[in-house]
Amino acid sequence: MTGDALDYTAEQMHLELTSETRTRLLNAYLTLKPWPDTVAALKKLKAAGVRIITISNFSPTMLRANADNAGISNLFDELLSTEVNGTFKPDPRAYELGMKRLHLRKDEIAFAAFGGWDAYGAKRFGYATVWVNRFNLPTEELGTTADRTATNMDGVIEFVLGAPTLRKW
Amino acid sequence: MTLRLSSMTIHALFVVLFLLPGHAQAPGTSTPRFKAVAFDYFVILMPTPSCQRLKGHSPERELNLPGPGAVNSLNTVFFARSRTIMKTFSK
Repeated sequence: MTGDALDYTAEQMHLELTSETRTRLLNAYLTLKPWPDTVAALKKLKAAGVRIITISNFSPTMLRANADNAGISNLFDELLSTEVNGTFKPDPRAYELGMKRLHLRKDEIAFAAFGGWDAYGAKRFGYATVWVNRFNLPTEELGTTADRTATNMDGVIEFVLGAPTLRKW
Repeated sequence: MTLRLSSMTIHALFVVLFLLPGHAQAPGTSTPRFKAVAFDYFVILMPTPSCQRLKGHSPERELNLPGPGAVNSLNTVFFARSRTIMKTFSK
């Protein structure tokens, strides 16, 4: 999909995309850097006993290469690609992969989305969803909103681990 | 009518209000609300090299692409394609 998008973009922008440049650009997607707050947050979730997976439209190769390059492979229980069953999010079958791999019920899994469309898809599927809207983008006008919107991993931690609960009288 | 509370009653109230499990706990000290969390990978990783430009890199210059928009456009198209797929499945 990334290659297709690059080819389309090059054509749209009238760029001559040589084979070498194309390869270099696509290889850049194998060594993406973690956001500054992710490693500490993943460690905190893992320490709390929460299982951590991806549900990503990246290929298994891209998932593994990025995790290895970033040194975060050990923080995941599984790097799950939607290619496993030949689907892509927001196909419900792609989100369902998480339940099947984790052997958990839908309500036992939280989904953290980067894109508003992905938050929509996960919520429509039935996962409790937190939208990590790092770029403060407008909400998709699709009639479904995430359970929680945050701008960083603090919101994910609070959503998954729970916030302080003081009884209100 | 005057309400009088014994020290034992006050102590019991204190326990009920403030010390019972689930009350006034710090984040992460209670049982997690979910057994697992599934991440889209871009929550973890910066989604394109264009984001890394904010960290001082310039993939367009490194790759000799004209203009600053090439990689950003890749990102835009990437998500546009995802959005198209989404609309297909949401019908």
